[in-house]
Amino acid sequence: MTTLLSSWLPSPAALGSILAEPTTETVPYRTEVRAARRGDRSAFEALVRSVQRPVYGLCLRLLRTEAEAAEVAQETFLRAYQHLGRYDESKPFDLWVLAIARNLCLDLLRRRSRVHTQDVDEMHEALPSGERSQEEGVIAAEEHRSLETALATLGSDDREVLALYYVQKRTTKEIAQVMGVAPGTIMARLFRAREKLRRQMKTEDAQ
Amino acid sequence: MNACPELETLLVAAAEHDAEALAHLRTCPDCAFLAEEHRQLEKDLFRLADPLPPVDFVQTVMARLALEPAPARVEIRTGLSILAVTLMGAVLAFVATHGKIGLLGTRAASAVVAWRNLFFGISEALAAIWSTAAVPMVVTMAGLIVVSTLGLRRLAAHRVVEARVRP
Repeated sequence: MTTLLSSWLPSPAALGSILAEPTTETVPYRTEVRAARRGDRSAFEALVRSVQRPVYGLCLRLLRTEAEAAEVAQETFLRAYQHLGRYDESKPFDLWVLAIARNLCLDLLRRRSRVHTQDVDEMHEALPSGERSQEEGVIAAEEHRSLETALATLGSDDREVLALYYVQKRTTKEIAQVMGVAPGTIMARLFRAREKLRRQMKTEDAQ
Repeated sequence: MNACPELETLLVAAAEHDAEALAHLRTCPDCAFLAEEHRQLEKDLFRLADPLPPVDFVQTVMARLALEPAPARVEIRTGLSILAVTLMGAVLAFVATHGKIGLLGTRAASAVVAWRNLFFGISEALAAIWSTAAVPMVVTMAGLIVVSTLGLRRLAAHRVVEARVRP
């Protein structure tokens, strides 16, 4: 029981990452952004390389089809390039791009009239476990598959907050910035999403 | 044992080292079980990772980008477009009004001066009244405010009654 309880307590490092405010000196990608603003395409290419994975990952979590995720992620970078002049250098570049990706995905989801059932199967192949190659034995492929299946049944709001927090390891403050909501609401959103996921997995187990 | 609190409240409180929440988790097997399930789920979720984008992703983005003008050029172009449209509008307005629009600035300046004089006049008058009869002025102002407020309330009440009576 003591182990159980201590595992719930956030570590000092985790608390530090939550409370840390990025200063203008520590904002990453600043040099590349400035060079890209001056028209240096290779600097922008470096930026794309750096943030392509989280951007594509978020798109795939939200849209659930590889083709659409790739298309929207590309469109995200085009929009980012076109509007580099509007980017506020005091904010992290990756969060700004993620916010663009999120808005484009939500626009597409709103336009969608129905959910394609084959998306779930397609996504199973597309979404790997982070350390599957190193820790294949720790989380079994079947467990991973059932987790992804349960995740796919959640709404886009829940998938988004879970993906940003657990998959991309973002802080609640960063998630709030991407989603454009108050940071204080993120923990509650996370809990509700996790609880839905837990219930969904229970239902699947029962079947 | 106390009644179980809401799970969300309990887990958030436990994460914040709340003694009561931790004590409840120690003594309530049901809540401890749910907390453990959430902890396991979190552990599994943390193992997930973002998928790799298609191998040609960066090349495709850069190829599409090659068709776009550079951001700095876009900004300059936007600025010049705004300037051109503004100038064109000004010239058109000048021609359409046969040059009378040129007097607009003079008229605006005259209006500013006139309003400024009026403002200073009223300020001086108020200062003069205040220095000679401050108390009667305050009483009069307070009376005006009270009467106006009461009148507005009566008017509002009358309208509400009318609205209710009307079919």
